[in-house]
Amino acid sequence: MKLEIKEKEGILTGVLCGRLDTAAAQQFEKDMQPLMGQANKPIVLDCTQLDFISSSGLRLFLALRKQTLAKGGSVTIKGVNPEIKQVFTITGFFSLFNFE
Amino acid sequence: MNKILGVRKAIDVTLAVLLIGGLALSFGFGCCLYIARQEVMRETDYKMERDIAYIQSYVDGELKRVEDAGYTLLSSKFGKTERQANGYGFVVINQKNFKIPSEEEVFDILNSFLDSNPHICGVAIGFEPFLYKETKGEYGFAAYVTNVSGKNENISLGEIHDFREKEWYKQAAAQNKPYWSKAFRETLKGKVVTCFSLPLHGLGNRLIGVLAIDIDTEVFRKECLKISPFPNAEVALVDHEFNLVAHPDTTNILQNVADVVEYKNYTADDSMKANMLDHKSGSFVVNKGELESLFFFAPIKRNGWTVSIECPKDDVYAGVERMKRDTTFIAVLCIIFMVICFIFLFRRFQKMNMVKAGMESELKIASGIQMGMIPKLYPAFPDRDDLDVCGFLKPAKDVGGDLYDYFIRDEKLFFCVGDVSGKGVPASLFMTVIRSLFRNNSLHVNDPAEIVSSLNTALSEGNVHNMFCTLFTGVLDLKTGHLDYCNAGHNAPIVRRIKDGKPNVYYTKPQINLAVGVFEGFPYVKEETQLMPGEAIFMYTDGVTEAENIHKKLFGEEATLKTLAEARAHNMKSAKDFIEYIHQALVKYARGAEQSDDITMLVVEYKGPKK
Repeated sequence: MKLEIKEKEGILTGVLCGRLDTAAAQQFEKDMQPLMGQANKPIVLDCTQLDFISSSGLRLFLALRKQTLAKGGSVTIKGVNPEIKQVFTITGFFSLFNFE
Repeated sequence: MNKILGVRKAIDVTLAVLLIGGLALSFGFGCCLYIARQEVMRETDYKMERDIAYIQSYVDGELKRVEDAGYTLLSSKFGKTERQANGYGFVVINQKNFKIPSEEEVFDILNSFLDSNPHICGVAIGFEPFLYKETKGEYGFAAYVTNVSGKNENISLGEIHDFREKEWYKQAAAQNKPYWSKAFRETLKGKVVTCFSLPLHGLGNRLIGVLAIDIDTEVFRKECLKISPFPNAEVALVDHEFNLVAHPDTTNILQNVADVVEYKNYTADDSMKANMLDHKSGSFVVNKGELESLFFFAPIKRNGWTVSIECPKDDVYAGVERMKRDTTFIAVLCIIFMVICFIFLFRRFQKMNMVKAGMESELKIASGIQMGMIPKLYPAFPDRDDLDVCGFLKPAKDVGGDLYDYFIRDEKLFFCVGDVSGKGVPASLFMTVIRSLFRNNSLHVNDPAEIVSSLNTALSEGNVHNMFCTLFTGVLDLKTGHLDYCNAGHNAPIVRRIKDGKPNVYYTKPQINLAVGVFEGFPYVKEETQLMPGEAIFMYTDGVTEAENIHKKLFGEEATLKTLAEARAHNMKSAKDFIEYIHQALVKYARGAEQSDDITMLVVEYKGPKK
């Protein structure tokens, strides 16, 4: 699991790559701290290369979403594959994020 | 327990590595020493042979200088030198108008000879009695000039003794060829000398006299002392009768080696001794009690002497021994260090083991508590014939975040299946909270959406870790078969309906609500349906549909549905049989792959109103 954070024209983009399972979630939680710190900005999570997400991963997406809600930013999820999209749908998380 | 075994195995492996490493190290060390000894042996051979060759050439050079001086003297003053075919030279007086020098002239010749050859300590010439008939000497005329502390002294030997009976004269005369004497102590000054005798011939090869030149062997002894291939090496020079000419211990000089204590104790290879007696070169190992020495020898062909170097083996191998001692010391230090490291590691492992064992036993207890919360009796309600309920929960770790629950209140079956985000202890704590809240909230409320809403409110408050739980909750009216349910972000249950007397298994499409614990105040929506007698609902967590095999492939929703349909076809009538069948299908699919997620199933079959 890899997370690469870029900033361009005031928009933060996190590019996720690999499997975000329970084991990877711990590291991801550390890696995403820069995003948590700038939750006042619009954040894009590029999930084009994300293969899998577990409930622990969803928990972290939720944490980021709540942070942006508190600080006035937003979270847009980009390029999720159908399986991951279904996870968002089933759990009702779909309504919490903007999807592109 | 497995982990403890694992740690033990790690210790075993560490021990084995230490042992094998130690053995390999010792072996390598041994090889190095062996090679070093071989190398030293080669080096020793080289050194010894080099030094022996040096003494050989030095002594030979000195002897040749004497021989040449003798030839030069005779040929310039008495005649001409001829060399015989066998290499021996001798001098012939062959000049018709040769005038025999007077006795004074002979002394003068010898004096000037001695003056111009400082390495020579004495020179004598003796004549046959038919010459110098007028001499004063009783035994004929022989002139001897010797150098006593820088001054020449003339001695007329014929007045003292019968020189022709002396070795220097007799041997050369008898053998009729140049002759090198054994070493002897000359009587005037007690010097150890050796003498070169050269016969002098007249017409018809008649012996006229003998020239003898003495040289002090001290120069050889000094040269031998200079040579020291090893600190305790001893260089010795023996004459052709094996009397010592040069030896570090001066008291042994002129002693026969057979009489010298030091050489008496030698035991050595006889063939090598024979070689030595035969004036050949070679080397052998001698045993002097417990000490072993290397003995190298080589002949000096000119006078039949032998030069030898003896060196204690301990001396030769001193460097290797030092290396052995130093490396052994270092190796011992390393081993001590390794053992200390090992003990330290072992203690740590032990400590960790204890901590781990403690944690594991705590987890076991926690697991017992968690499983104890879940209804597991089957039949769940033995006194009822209107429903068949069976649940199944198998955590991936000791404790898990999945849950199911059911109970009957007021002829209504309240049930739920949930999946908490994450795994392990945090999920299990959250799960127990949800299970308690579910029981509490359903005490007086019949609406599943309401139950879920209050649950959500309680969970969302202060949920800093953003834990959440997907939950399917249902309330089945056992009198009518009416089912109220609310799906809070959980996997869609599968139902078995009876249509035209045939079972029909398919996924439901419940209204999607947000998982509980995410946002306070989310409006959960209740749905309802009617279960006919013989119809059932199958709830599960993603541990079923996402069960992994060894190739990390997921079981899948379709396979789940198919397995369910099969179970029915295989006449799995009771809810328990049904669940067991699916569980077996999952085990078969996983093929030994480790269970990746908690597996939970709950079957509720409505059998129609109570009779």
